[in-house]
Amino acid sequence: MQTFRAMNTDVTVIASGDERAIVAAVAATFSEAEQRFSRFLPTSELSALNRAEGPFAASAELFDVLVRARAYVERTDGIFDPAIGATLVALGYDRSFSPTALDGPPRRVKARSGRLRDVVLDVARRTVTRPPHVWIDLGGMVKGRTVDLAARRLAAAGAIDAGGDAVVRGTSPDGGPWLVEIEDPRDPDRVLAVVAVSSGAVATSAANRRRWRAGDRWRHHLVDPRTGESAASDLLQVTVFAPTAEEADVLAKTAFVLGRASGEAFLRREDVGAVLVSNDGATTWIGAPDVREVTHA
Amino acid sequence: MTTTERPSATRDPRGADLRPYLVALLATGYVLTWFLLDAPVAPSAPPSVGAARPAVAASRPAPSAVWIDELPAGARPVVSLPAGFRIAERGRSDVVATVRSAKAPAPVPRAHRIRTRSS
Repeated sequence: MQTFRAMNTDVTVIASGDERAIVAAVAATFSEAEQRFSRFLPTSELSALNRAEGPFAASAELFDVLVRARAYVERTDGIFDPAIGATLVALGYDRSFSPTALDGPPRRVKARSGRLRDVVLDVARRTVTRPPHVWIDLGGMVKGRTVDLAARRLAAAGAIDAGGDAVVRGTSPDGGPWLVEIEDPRDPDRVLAVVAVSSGAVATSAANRRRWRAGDRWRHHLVDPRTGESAASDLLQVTVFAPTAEEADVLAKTAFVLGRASGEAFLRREDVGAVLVSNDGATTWIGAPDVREVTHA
Repeated sequence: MTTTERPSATRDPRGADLRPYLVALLATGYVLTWFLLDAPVAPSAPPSVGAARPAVAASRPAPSAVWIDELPAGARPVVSLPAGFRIAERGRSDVVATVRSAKAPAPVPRAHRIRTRSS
């Protein structure tokens, strides 16, 4: 098992076979993705797109991500929308996150809401044309996507865990299924439950870590495109088990923004496994994850 | 003509002959001392070993540390362990250690767990 730092999080790789070579390949995948998709790097292709006027000739990788993002926008009826870059900046998320780094006075400037549906994706020319007020932030899906791509480097059994977004393959080193601990959002030192996963992906969304103070108000990174504000959700945390990490990532964020009732209904329609933790401490189980231990009811 | 043979002016031949024996004696003493220093202090040790030990112990300084399981039960200090800690056992290759490890349960490898959380 080896761990390295990428995308502002710890990435752990467990692989059978030539682990060193696999880890190197995984690290290269993360590095390439960060260099291309980070809105905090002025030299990234995404930053260039966000500065461009008129049609922007995108790389195949960026264009593919935008096409997939557009599909998620339709699938979530606009609740998931990467065209929130300007909103995030207006809320104070204008640099890479670290505790207290974004804290500041209240922000009174509200960004004009953007919609990815207003961005023109020309498949034939592979160009992207966005309205000037639309800035794109791919943070809601790129980490999951990168974990999926990196998982292709796993020869057989193995796992890649990028700050809680994870893909597992085959059996764990002890010969059984992989055991996924769901963190208690109220106490990071505690575990809500342990779920056995044979092969698949998991992602968790919550507002307990990536948050900051704007004056006397707390803001967080899970934006509700309908309001242009940090989502006022009655959920503390959503964990989704899905075939891919990208999908788990997007669906977890969507359910969080929707809240407990609508989020539960949404995830049931999506036919995925999930665990929702509400503000009142109640836990809702969706699907049939193989639960090995439960600390709280 | 008388030839008188005089004894050559050499050292006492017994001195030269004794040097290998002296070296062997010193080497034996060194090896014995080494084994005696490494041997455990066991209450049930046979009398011959116990009788030899005080002489060796008198000639070497008291050890700066002893394993807690070497001490008699009544002489062991009370140790307050943090949660999740246990007193380790030395890995030994002699028969006593083999018997001890056979009685101890084999440690179960803890399955690796992935912690999913927001980041």
